[in-house]
Amino acid sequence: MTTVRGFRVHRVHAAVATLVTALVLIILTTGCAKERPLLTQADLDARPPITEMQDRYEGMLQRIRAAIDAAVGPREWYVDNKSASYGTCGDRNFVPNVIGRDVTLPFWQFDRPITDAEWPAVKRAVLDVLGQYGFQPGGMAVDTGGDHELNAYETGYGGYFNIGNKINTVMRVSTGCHPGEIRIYR
Amino acid sequence: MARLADVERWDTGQLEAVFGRLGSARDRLVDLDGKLAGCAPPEGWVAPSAEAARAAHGGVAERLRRVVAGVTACRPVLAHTVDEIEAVKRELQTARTNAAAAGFEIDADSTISDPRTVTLLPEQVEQYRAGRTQQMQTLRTQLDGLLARADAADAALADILTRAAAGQIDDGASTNLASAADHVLGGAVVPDPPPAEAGPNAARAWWAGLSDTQREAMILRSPWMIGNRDGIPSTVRDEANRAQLPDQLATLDSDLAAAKARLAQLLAAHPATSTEPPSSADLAEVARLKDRIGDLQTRHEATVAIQSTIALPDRQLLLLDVGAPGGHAPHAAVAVGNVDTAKHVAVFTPGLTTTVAGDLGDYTKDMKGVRDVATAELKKVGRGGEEVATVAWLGYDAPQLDSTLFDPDRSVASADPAKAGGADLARFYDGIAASRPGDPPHVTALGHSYGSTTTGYALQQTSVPVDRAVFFGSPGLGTDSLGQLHVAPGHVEVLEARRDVVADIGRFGEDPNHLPGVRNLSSEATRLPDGTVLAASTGHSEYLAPGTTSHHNLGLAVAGLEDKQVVGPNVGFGDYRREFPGWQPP
Amino acid sequence: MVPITAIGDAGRAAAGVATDVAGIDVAGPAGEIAGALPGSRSAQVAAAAAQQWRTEFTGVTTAMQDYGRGLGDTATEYRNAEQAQLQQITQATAALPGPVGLLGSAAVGASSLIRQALG
Repeated sequence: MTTVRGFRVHRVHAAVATLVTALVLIILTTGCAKERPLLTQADLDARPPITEMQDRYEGMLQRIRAAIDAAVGPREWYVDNKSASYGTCGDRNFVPNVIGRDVTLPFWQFDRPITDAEWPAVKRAVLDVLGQYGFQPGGMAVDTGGDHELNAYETGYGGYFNIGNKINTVMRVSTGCHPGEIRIYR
Repeated sequence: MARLADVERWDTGQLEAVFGRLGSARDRLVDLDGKLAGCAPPEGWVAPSAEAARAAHGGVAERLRRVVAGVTACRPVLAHTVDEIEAVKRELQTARTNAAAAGFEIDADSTISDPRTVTLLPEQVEQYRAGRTQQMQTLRTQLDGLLARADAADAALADILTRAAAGQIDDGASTNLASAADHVLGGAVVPDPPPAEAGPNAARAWWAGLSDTQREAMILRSPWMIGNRDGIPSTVRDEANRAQLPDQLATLDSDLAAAKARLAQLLAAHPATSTEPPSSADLAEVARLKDRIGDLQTRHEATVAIQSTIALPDRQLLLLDVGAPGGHAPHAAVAVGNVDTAKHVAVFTPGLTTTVAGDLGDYTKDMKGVRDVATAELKKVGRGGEEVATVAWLGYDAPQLDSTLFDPDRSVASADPAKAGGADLARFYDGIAASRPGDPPHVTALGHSYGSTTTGYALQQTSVPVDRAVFFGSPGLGTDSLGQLHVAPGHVEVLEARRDVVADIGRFGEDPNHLPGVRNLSSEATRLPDGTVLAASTGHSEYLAPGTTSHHNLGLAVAGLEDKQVVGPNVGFGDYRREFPGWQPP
Repeated sequence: MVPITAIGDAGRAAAGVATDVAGIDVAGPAGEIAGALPGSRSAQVAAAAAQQWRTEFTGVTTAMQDYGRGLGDTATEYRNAEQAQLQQITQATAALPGPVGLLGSAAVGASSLIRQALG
């Protein structure tokens, strides 16, 4: 029994040596986990309250809907309040024990695709509005086989936007991390 | 009597939400027992004004007891109403289908008409009419019975609401809020649940056999017996676990205070200026106390992290086990969405260095993001009615980068923690299926890093197969044969990002990328013919960043839309961070 | 023995309980039953039930606040009365000649400290 246990420990030691080497390699090659210093409670408190961001992005989505309608003709937009989701935040970008809120606003959609011919105009219209709210395109972009995807990011607070279609066209926006209590979409 | 059209519009989902909110309001009221007693006029105070104060305090306390009794009385009736209406609506649906097949019409007031025209010989007419009349009569009786049943449920609810709000529900001779609630349940005797080893189906059967009052009594008196019991419905587990949090936090607070006080006492007995050295017994106790305080502080942080992670309307606390000093690490599982009603459920198990205190919030956030993608993609293919729930499961002692590296029971270099965790995780998966026998969801298992090894072991032990599994950053699944995993054939998927050295170690079986039958999903950067660049994930922890290919594919897997995924060999190079360095998910 | 500090503490605790109760919502979910069951008897009574609970919660909160304030006022009254008493005795003993006067003041001072510590 002792011999077997000794063997197991020996194997664990060898395995750990390999793993530690690997982890050191990872850390050396990928560098630091974060590119900027952690934020503080004061930084969070200085941000607009979460309900203000909800208002602001509701307005942004309204303008995007209008811009798309103007670009390619009126769409039959409708919203689903149950698609909204809510989050706590602060673990990633803040010092410990700072707790904020983020919200994914209810999704807006219309039940037909954006065609390949329409996509460039839609993209232009969307990016024009997004730019005014500090969003820039990035991440995965799709424009093949009738399917389209556009992602955009707002680097100030961590906002995220997506619009895409297969049979239907759906768009959504998520806020970054903000103080205060959320407004629930019922 | 309510009209047929009204009954068919009755929303049991909303009633269930009311049920939940009344429960949490009642629990918060009952939690005030200590503070309510603490603000009573002090005992040593004797004076006419003292008597007046006692009467005032007693009056408020009695009013609160009545409120608690009233809300408690409403709950089982509400639950019964939900069950009754769901049953009635199902049968109304069947009746409508049969009626339509026979050519009858039913209007909003349940009036039945026979608009069908047929051509008959004169001698057939009477028999035909008699037959049709007979059919309509049967349908009439059926509809009347169902509407009467709906009415009865409605009447019972209206009655209890009226009496409860008017303060007419008696709290008996109870002297505090907890016993006021208990009194209403009439000393309901509840049969013991089966042992955990009996499995989730036995737990489900036990719960199904309880009356609404017995269930309410169980939640009120013994929430620790149902909060973590696989097979119990998720909304019930959530309510039971939330009910325990304030007490757990208070116990940790007082244990910490006691340990710190004792330590202070010991240290004060041996100040630096003392000429008398401390005894070895005292030294040993100081060391023990320091360990205990550190341990309690970790569990305290974990409990606070759990509290803040579930302080949102779309969360369910499905596992709460903060543990005790010297025992296993804190465990928790939080769902985003409703696991009882979602069509698609995903369970994510994280890996190396995971702790509840440090990572529950992060991983729940990641699961929220995956759920957003899955929901959006379902809408894009015209299946927007299908709901999604994702679970972050931190229910095992994940290996850490500390002195336990050399402990074969706990080290990341050993499969033992994965095997032990795998058994619990398997029961968790089985519990989801068991809790929804008539309406099983589409289930996706997600495993990251060492958590994919744990998931691999779990999927070798589940009674019910899951629909798909996605492993990312996996150092091995604990088996070299996919047939050992209880996953629908062809539905094991692997994401491996370039420079993911841990994934290439292949400690716990063959590198999953190379297992026959595995689909390789792309997480590389691709340059399309038109110059668009698809972002890639780099390294071990980038799989869950929104807007990347891997995140997209994960959401599609969870939604059961595998045909929409971007498929390709996991080679190539891209750097999400380099392309967009200024952004971090919140 | 009048436990003045304890009375004050209880008053403050009562204010806390009042705030806690005010933050708990029973009327809200109760009222939503009306929307969930259109055309039903429950819908007819739900709004009234919600209103009754709303009124009751307001009543309980107010009563608790009043009770707490009452305790605070009582504690203040007692403290003022005690101060007045002490002052009277201090003045009286200071008027006494020599060491008796000093001893008397010291005794009054000590007993006041003791009563504070105990109450």
